[in-house]
Amino acid sequence: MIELLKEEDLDQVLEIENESFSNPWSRKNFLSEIANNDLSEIYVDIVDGEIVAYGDLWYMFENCDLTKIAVRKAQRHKGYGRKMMKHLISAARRRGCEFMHLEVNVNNKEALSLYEKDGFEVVRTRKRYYENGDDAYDMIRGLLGEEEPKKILAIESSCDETACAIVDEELNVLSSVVTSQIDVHARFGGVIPEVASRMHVEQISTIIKEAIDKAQVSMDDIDAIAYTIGPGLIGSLHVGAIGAKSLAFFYDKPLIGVHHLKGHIFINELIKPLQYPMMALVVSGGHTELVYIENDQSFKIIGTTLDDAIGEAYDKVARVMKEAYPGGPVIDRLAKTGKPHYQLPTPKVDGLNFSFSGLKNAVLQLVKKEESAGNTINKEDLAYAFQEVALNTLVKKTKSALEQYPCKSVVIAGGVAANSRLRELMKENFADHDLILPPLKYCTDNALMIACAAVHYLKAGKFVGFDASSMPSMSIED
Amino acid sequence: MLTLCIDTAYKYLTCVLIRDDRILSSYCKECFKKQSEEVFSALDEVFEKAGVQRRSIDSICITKGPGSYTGVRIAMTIAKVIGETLPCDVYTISTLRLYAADRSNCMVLMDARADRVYCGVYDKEKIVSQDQAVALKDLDIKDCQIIGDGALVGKTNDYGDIPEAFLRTKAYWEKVDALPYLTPEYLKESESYYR
Repeated sequence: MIELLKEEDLDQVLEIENESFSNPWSRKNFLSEIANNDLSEIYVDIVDGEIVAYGDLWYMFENCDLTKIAVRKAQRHKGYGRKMMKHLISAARRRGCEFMHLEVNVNNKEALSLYEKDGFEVVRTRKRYYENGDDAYDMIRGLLGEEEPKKILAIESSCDETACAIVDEELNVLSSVVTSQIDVHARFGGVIPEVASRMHVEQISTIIKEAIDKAQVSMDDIDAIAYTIGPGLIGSLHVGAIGAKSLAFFYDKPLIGVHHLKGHIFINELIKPLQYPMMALVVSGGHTELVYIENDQSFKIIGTTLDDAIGEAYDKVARVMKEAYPGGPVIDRLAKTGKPHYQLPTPKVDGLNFSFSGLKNAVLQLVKKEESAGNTINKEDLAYAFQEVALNTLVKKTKSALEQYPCKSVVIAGGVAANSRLRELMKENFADHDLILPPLKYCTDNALMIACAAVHYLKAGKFVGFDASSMPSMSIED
Repeated sequence: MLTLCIDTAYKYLTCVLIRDDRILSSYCKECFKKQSEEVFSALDEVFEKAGVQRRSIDSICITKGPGSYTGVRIAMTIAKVIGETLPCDVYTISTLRLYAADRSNCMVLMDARADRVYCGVYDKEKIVSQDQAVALKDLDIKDCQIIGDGALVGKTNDYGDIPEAFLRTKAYWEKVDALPYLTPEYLKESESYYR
């Protein structure tokens, strides 16, 4: 995710600075650039907590100077340079600049070819520009006359988050607003559908207004309206659908109905380009699916749960242990200090399908047995036992899936993708693949993910009409 | 002043465009539980018929409930989103008050399910009895005209002319000051809260 440089990112930026430039800037240079130079913007690209690239722009009236762009040595040739360049060009265009300028060493062939690919042209040579006597090229790229990337406003309301985001088709995030109802639902021990619908109506106009204001756009600048068409709670989906249709109707914009889980998958493109074919392990309160993704338009469910979703099993086990809702984070935390002690059966299901109700019942039986024997349950150990069995099942099935459907990349998506142990296991088991673990802040529902998926619908020309019904139990294959 | 009126709270889907004291166009069809799929084609029809631009409206007036929860939320979501973005003024009116229109002495009934009814008694501009949800057996049937689900009390169902009712109740529309805080009038607490 590309964002503006903050002081706490400086250590990492200096690492890249030192390995990339013969005359690197010091910490002091960067600090004064952040603090005192209103005309400068430094962007960093953060992937899995690591800064992989950064770029520095100086705005001077109609000109924008690209003073620095660098990619971490270990992360080069993965597309991060072009991703950053695209972002910088959009940023300069949004700021109203007419052209962008940079200098490059004439002997730096690699950089030259990157700049040429991105539309820069050599306009003159500066003799002996560098200390070692090397010449420099001045390169310029026009920013006018090109079509602005299309902007999508997206609304998500499938469960207990009301959210709105604006993203352009080059995946520049213009705004993202989320309000969660989790505190309210925690009081009831789960999401109450009617309560959720009521809260969506309360929030819907506020979040849309806020997303538009934050993005500093007007509705006329928006090219399409997207919303979650399914799956989810029908009453909740309705509110988002009507909100999106209202905007599309009054502002005469095309309407895109996005599958919620595609959102969880495509939001990972904010981190890095996706490589196909791809295996997605979708794990949430409502889903446990293995999805084979041949390309961005082709989704095939090759494994699914026959009963409870994994997140549901977590919630129910937490309830048995008299712990709070939602169960996922609680059990994850307890399991950290748990030890192998209790034995739970490994679910046995043929093929690539899952089953968690047997495991859940085994937990219930175990608790009853221990209680009637007068023993107190060690919650940490029980959480550990449950989590190890449940998550290792996911990993095992994902491995079998990859044997049948070889893939370049593996991605986990959905709320349970935030589970620390699952992330650990994925890293241990799928290091030989391009493994994509979504940042924690994207694991919960948000509208950014709907906007990211909508970009693919927009490119494929997949729109819906105003009479489109929300689909509470829609398949990702639809 | 051009006002778009929408009622999706109960059995009918009603959309009306009113300019000052005149109805420019209207749509009113029985459409129980299908409003969310059909409301935008109905809106398209009234804007087409009236020959006015969608964004030229100055205000929106909606029924705020009581009624079907899902139904009430449809018009309210439209009003909140468009009221906030366009922006334009938003007015609300009680569904029962709308159906009473400006009749003298009438009782409005609407099925609230589970043997309960939404009930309000109006006499022209006067509210004789506040909107409430009551058990059907406790309903104190006034000796007056019954509007709405009359069949519940042995009379016939009669919802009147809903588009015309919007025009006739214009004096009773309530202007919304803080749109973000506008919420439907559910009257009855949802049972599912306590399930």
